[in-house]
Amino acid sequence: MSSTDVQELKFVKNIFDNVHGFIPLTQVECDIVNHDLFQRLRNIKQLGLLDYVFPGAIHNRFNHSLGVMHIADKMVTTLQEKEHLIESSDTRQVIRLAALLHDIGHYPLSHIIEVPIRKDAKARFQQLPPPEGRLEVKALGEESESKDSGQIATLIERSSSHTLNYHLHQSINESLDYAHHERMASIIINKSGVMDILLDSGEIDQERIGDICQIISGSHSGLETAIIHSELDADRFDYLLRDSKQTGVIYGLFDLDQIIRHLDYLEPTTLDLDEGTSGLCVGYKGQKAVEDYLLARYFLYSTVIYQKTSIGFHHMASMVYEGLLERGFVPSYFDLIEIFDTGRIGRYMNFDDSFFWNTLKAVTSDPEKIDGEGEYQHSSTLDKLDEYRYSSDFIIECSKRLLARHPLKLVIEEQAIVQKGSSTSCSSEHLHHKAVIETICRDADIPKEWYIISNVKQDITELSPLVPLDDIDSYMRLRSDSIKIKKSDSSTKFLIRDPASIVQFLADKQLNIFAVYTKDAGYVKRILEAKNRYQN
Amino acid sequence: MMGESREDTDDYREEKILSKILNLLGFEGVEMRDFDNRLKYQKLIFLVQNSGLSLGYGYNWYVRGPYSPFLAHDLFEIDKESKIFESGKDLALQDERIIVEKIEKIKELLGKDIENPVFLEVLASLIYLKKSSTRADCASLQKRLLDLKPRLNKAPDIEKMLNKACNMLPSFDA
Repeated sequence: MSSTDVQELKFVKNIFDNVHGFIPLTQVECDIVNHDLFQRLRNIKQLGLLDYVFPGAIHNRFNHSLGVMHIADKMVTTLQEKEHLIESSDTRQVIRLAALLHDIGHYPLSHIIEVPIRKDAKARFQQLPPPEGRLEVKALGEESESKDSGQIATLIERSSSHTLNYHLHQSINESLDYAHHERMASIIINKSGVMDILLDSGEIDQERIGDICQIISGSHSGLETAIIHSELDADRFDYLLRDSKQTGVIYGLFDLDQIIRHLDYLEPTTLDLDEGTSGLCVGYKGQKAVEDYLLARYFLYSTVIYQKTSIGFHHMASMVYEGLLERGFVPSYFDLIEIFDTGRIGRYMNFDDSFFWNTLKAVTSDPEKIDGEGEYQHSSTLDKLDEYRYSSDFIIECSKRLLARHPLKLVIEEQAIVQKGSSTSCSSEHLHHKAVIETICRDADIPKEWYIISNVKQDITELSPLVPLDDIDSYMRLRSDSIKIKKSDSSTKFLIRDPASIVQFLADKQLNIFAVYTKDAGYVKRILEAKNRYQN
Repeated sequence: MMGESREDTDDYREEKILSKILNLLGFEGVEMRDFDNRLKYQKLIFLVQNSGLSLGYGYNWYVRGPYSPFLAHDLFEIDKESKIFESGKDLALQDERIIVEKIEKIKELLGKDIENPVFLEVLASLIYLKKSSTRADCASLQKRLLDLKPRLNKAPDIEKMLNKACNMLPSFDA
């Protein structure tokens, strides 16, 4: 092991963090942290509405971003000590910056608002004709007429922000997931003062800024991406420790230092097609720490992140945003790119958790306003829908409940650990089927929007639900992504194939949490009675 | 993550269209137990998409170059239910003539190398690197590829393969 390969950085400041202690920063990092767009992250809670259940969960994306940079740095320096990641002289700084900026594109309430915005953007891109020179492969008889009125098509054609997003991440464009927060990060970095800070530092050029954006989005080709995007990444390491500490639920704690100490990288050195022989790995002395980390993640998710009351709030907030989005009351992806196109960064600065709460206050204080003209030009109101998915009454009621911390009522909840890929996840699964929902709602005489379904899954490792464990050799993604252990004789083995690993026995299982929520006790009673009549 | 699962709009719509394209490429079914096959499917669909046909598969960089998890998912579905491939290959497509022409052009361009997983990996990787880099000249792309995959230096005729792949890049510029 050699420390001579670790790239030296000049640190100019320390920030004290409640999870990691003092976090040193270089000048360029200091300047970024002090920028308004990074400070905005102070007002985006890491866990959305989870503080309604765990009051300590008030930490934010600002804390987390610093923590991810700190952990990513430990990972890089460990790998550089082992003579990896040393090809470019600025790799350490580039990875630190990618880690620091990885969440700068986050939406209010973290993932809660992101889901409806991404869904809306994707649906609208699907309605557009493909870009010139491209042909969408469709079956004969499928709808091929563009439904867009032309305004969105014109907007994205003229948008320098969208063009940048499009060209920077071409390999992932086919998914049409342009509004992913990791792709929004590219727009924010390139279309704001953050770009000037990076260039003025003299340490990062335009090409490396592109690399930083691609590392964040996961489209970069190189080991750097694995530090931010893999089953052993700095992002997960930090949020587990931080969420655990903040919520007070200790299940998320694990031995980070032991994992990082034994982190290693194996270059693919032969034409052997077995991908298990290369990639990011952990030395055998760190194996138990890795197993403990995977179990910690499972328990934190199943007890904290998927806590039933919190999930109810999560659904309400997401539905409210979706309802307001289709009325043009809140920004869509198209509104946001226009903000950056026109340089009105201040407007984006206000797009944080406070924006969400202020919007709820506005709609509840003046319920008529909700069906009036929306203030955002490029929202769905341009193509007026025949019928909104959520009624105004429903949006107002949910908004009031969110403001007053008034939870949904649980009608039914079922948890079961099942084999991945099994056709039936739980005995109540049929209650999610469209026809059954319609029958029950009709019989119970309740509006369908108050029959709120939730189905979350959590596993120990990210193994394809389609591939049983004994067929694991056939699963390419798993082979390149799954955690590898470097044995004492320098050979490697997948953790999930080690007979001495507890993970081997749990890897093909997943926890399914199935639930139905509704408005109040009266609705619960009516749904349950209708359900019983349906089942009899 | 909640609410992020892929939505099924039709029964095996994507898998049937994928089967049709694979059939046009010359496959008579999907066999996922073999690594070479899996690699060929991944890289050929990547080439098809980069020739201008959109199938909806986003690609990221993995150890063997461009790779799409959603494509792998659909391929496993087809492998599991062989009837999907059978009904898919008879599917009539919109603009089928143009699609067939484009795929025939890819087949003609690749020639025997359509069966060569190492060449397909080299070509697909160069396309990926070209699209994600500001330095898109052949020499820079080749150097970057060999830096990322030093094992390719040991492949027989690697220099020839790299040059051949570089010459093909303009055909996959869509």
